[in-house]
Amino acid sequence: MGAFILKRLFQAFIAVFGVLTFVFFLQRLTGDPVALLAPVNTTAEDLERIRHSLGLDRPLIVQYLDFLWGVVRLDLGRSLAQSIPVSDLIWSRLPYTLWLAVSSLVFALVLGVPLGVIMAVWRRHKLMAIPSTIVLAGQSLPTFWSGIMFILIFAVGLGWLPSSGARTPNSVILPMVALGLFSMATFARVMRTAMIDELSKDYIRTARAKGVPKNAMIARHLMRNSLIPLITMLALELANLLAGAAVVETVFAWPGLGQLAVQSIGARDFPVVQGVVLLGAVTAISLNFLADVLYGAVDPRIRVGRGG
Amino acid sequence: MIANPVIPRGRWLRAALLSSVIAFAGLSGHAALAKETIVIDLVDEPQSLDPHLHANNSALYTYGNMFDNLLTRDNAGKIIPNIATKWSQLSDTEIEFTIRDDVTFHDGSPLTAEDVAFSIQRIIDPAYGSDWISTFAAIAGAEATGPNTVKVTTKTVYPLTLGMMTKLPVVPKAVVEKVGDEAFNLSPVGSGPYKFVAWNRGVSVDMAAYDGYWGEKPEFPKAEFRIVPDAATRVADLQTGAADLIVTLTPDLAVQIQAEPGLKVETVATERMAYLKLNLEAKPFDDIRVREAIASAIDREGLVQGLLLGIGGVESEQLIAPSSFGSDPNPPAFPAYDPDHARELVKEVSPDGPIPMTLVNRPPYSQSVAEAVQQMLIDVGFDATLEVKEGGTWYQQVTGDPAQHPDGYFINMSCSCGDADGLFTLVFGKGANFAKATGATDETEALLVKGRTTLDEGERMEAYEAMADWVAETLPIIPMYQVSQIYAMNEKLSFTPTPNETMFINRMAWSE
Amino acid sequence: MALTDAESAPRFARLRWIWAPGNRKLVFLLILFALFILAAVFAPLIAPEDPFRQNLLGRLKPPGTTARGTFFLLGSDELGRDVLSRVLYGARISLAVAFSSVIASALIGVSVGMFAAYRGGIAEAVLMRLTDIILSVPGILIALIVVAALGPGMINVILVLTITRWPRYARVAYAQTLQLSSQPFVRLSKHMGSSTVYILTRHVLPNIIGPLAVVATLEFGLMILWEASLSFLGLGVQPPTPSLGNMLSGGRVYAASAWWIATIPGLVLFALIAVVNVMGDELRDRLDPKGR
Repeated sequence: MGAFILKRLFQAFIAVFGVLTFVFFLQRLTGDPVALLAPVNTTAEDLERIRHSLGLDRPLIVQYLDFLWGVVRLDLGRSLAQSIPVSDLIWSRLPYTLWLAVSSLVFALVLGVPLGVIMAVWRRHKLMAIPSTIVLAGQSLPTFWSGIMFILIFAVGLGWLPSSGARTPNSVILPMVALGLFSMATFARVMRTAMIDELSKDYIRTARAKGVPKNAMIARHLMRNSLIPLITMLALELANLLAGAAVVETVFAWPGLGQLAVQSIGARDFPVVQGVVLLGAVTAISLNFLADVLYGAVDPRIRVGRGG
Repeated sequence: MIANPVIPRGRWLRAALLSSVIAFAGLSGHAALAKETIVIDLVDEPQSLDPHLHANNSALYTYGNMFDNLLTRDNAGKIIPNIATKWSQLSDTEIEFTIRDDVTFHDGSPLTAEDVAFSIQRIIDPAYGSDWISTFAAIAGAEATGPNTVKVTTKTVYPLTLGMMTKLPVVPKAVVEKVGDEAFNLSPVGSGPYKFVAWNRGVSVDMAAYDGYWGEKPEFPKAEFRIVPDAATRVADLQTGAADLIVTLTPDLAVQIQAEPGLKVETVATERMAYLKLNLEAKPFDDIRVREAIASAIDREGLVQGLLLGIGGVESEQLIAPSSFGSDPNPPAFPAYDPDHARELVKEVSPDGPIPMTLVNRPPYSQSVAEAVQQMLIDVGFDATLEVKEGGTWYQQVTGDPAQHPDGYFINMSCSCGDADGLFTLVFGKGANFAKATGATDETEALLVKGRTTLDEGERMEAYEAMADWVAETLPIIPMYQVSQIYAMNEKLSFTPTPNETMFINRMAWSE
Repeated sequence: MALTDAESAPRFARLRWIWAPGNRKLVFLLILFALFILAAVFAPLIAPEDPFRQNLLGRLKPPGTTARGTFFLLGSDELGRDVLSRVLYGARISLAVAFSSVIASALIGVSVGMFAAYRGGIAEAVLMRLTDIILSVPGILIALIVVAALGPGMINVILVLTITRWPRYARVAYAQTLQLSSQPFVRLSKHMGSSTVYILTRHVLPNIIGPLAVVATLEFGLMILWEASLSFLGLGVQPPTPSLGNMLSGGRVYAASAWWIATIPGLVLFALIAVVNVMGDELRDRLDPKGR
């Protein structure tokens, strides 16, 4: 186990380093942030002066090493567009992103698991077209489209919920549903497959033959065993939700990291993009690691380190 | 109030039908009491609240209400006193401003001539790194010559100093020096009608009316500028009553809002000019006949009436907006829309077939206008291709080596300075970033220099009329329309937008 | 396996296979999908109008109206272009993006995965670690940065989707090949001196194609969604070239006033992805009953 963790740590280090390097140089391939951010009447000399004061006129390799040294010291630099430390910007946005991602995950679970169970247990029932359609919609609709539809129906039409922002606690509901639908569909499908798998196993047949009531059986055995693949997915799905929030956050003016990333990418605010990517990569890798550990913990038969 | 607009319960089923969704927005009512908070939806985050630091529109709207400029413009664009009540030209390069003595900052300290001089020195200090530095490039320095007088010195004879001072926010010297630039940006102290309350990153900037304000006090005790990137969402905010005023809409959305009870749209033709810039160093666009063909191919009226619905812009054959000084009252003749004539010219230059032409557009310049112009050019015999470039790549291409330029690119340009010098210099001035492959000559440069170093208005006017003649003859750019800024708001709000795109809440009113 | 049996059987038996109760659903889905493909491929022949042709006086006409001599079966958009024609061409672009990126990433991923599993050693360690690394990085974020740097457009979108998605296939191919490599027939072939390429393409690939097809089908729908998301953020296929994603995204501001502009491409997009996803589920049930 110790060797495994060491190996994973090394791998994580390489991954973060690789991604940061990639992003650092890629961003600098095209586009000049200073010219984009300054007013149109800024003269060439003044642009040059601003570049100098931001250190953007130094050789690329010097900027790169400086950036890496900053990362080591946990100093992400300053935003070019907003002139405040990147870490301040990220800290101000992080709680919103976490809040949205976690509530979306909970939403997806609360809706997805029962849907999956229903779809597996009564899979021959005529009414199964309904949950199937819900799951299919979750999988097939672009989030920005469902998001705007939700705003039109629940905020503009019915006036039940706020149309955007994050000022009241109920503001999270619409973006949560819009973001969580896809994960909900994923969970329902996984749950359905796992349940069907379990249902065909010998012990279930035996129990049924013995006359154990169906509902009790579902609650006691089936659910527990079927949840295993789901639990192993949780951490990965959370990583997807964290990373996938950019579109939903833009639609709902939700002040999270995704929106910050989209704006910063557009404005070529290099340090902010690098900061968000660093945080995103570290989070995703940690969650991946967590997924592996969970995988091993819930199902001891599986060797640590996902072989496939 | 925000979360629960009043909607009769039994009707929710009907409301769920998408087509009828909009009809219900009008039912959401506001409290009958005087309006407590005005909520304004902006597109993006203010880059800074320190008014000397950054200059994006959101920042201008926001800090514009917390700080007073030395001078200001009325809604028609005329320069009027603000912090300075009088000014006099001491010499060709010196102006003395007399300051009000009843102005206090939000911390209670009086605003003095020292603060004004400090503000000017701060904005022109290269070490401070203001976005405004090029705007104030002509200023050599400023000093307090008495308790209520400030002397501003320009580097050369400079006719635009007063216009520039309408963009000079006055900051409290003592506070800035005490807390430092960084902290001042996060918690600004001004002398404007509103004082700073909170900056919720990515969400909003909150303000409260300043009781000690010297000028006209605003009607709303509180103001909130919110950040809402998506236009469809801003409209939803307005419809639900979550916002009272929203900015930056497409003409189509404006029409949609106009049709709704309880909401209205206000537009203003700004100084921002939308034009097609041609590359005069690329063949065959160095041929005046080709440029004339392009000018004759573009149906300005069709663009403005058909595409911008008569809301998004005002047709223009000139670069300089009528509201600016130096706009030619008797504009020179410009090729009229005449596709047959354009076709003939193209045939004449290229008898063997269409003329290939590369066009480039960048968001947020109107993509539908770019596509429509492309189609108009194709119709008269250009093989026009349109490429969309993202900001940074676009900037590099159109400001770099003209050999890499597209044959034509779309741009909206403004100086928001109310003077012909601004746009002419940006578009044709020697060394200006966007003035590449324009066909500008030493003569045109001499006209521009004359225009910006002469105090006599008649002589300046002559220079700009000569520039306008040159543009109409040479056709280095094809002006299309003056871009209108579109604001949508609650019907109860009265707000007069201005050509230089300001938004002062104390000039707004609310009527129940 | 059912397919091969059917092919060698007399004609009526093949027909019976198609109409067998268990197969009806899949056949139906395949036909639907084929219709999408046909409509897209033959868009230039089917489309009643030029999808780029503007008609500024015929803007925002609802479905079934005639304006200036043009009949708009599914209405016209904000530039007076025929929505039906644009949807046909848009589906063509969206399908092209999805097909290209799925094929390219499958090619790369499968080669990498099979090679790594079969060769083992350093190649395995390096390739599979690389796969893990790319899999562990938030894909959409990287996609945004890459497209912003390279500039938006169809080719770059395909490129980005390929770069970020090939590890999915590599993982599956790797795991499956690993299982197969120890099988007697593979070892025998190796023993007899067959080349690596021969073994991988002749023995391994045909036996792992099932699970890979399942992954590819599910990825296909996802790619169409990603293109739409990139379009929403202004980084997808660029107008005036229509894609289902950018039509949906561009039309969303008209959702309340001219619903057909976004709703119609939205429905087509939904139907397309739904068909592909259900097809993927069916395939999975047949080819890969155990795995996810």
